[in-house]
Amino acid sequence: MEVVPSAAMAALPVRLQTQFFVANNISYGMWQRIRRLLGGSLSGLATANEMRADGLAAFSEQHNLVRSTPVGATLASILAAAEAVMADLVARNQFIERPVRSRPEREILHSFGLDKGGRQSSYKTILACINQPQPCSIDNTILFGVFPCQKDD
Amino acid sequence: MEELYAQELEDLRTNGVPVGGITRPVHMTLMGDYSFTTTFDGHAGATFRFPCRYCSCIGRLAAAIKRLLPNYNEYGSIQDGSGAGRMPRTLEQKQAMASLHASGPLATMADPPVVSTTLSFERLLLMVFASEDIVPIPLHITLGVSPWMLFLGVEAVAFDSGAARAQEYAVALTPTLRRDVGVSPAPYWGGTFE
Repeated sequence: MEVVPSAAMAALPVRLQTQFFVANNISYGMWQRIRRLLGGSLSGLATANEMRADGLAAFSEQHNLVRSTPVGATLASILAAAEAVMADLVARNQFIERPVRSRPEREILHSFGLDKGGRQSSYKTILACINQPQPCSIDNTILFGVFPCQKDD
Repeated sequence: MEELYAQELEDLRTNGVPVGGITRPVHMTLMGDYSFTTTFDGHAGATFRFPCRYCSCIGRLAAAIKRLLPNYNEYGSIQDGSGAGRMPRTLEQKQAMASLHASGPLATMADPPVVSTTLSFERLLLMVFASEDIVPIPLHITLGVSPWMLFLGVEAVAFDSGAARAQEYAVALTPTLRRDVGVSPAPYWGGTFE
């Protein structure tokens, strides 16, 4: 039985579904079960194989590409990621000018930082663009490095 | 691990970022816990003689040290906290400062300079951040400001009425803090520090 109107979900691009899938840490198996529950091919949701292919394509783009090192994983190009965020903000009309007293005009404000935590202790390095609404929200920051801790304290 | 991305962040700050087809300058601030920011800044850490990276609550800059700091009157120092922003540092000035750290006289000195000169900044900075561009940890904001304000009060009396009057003021401040504000004496070298 189909309980959710499929027309709206059919209009969702596969990339958007991939982003939802990654952001919510959903496994391919779980995605398949959700898709079957919502009516299978009638649901409008992409199949796990389509999601897998789109995920691989997305992760190989320059601004998403991750390199692994002996001490952790970082984005291959922080600059490309920052540029992609700016392009996205402009495209969504979410870019906000935030002038700072005594600073030159039209500067883009970025905040760079690090946080330690998690079930297995690790350092997460982030870059936040301040020129947007809610710049400190996790969804609005660029996670560009994860480094496992040597000690779990 | 910071070396992995410090250069790329420096490139981002140096080259700017395109917005709507136009490349615009980037102003970057540093935030994080104490351990991280001291590592990035080349500071020796909490157990050293000048543990406070943000202000002069603990170790005040002597006149001799101020003379060593290039353009101190314009830029202040990292220990001036928010007062360091008399004039915003330009990117060129930050790059010149980084170059001085990398190839200046400090690296070739036979004996390391005394801690009152280095203020516990003992390693090469990964990136140069002016003090006004470092986000202070919240505990520092709540704990660090109080003694600074008391020092400022004593300085104001010294400036207005002379050193002797300032000393009287400082002595009178002690019982006020103890009785009216409720500040507890702290153990200090076998006695108590009020």
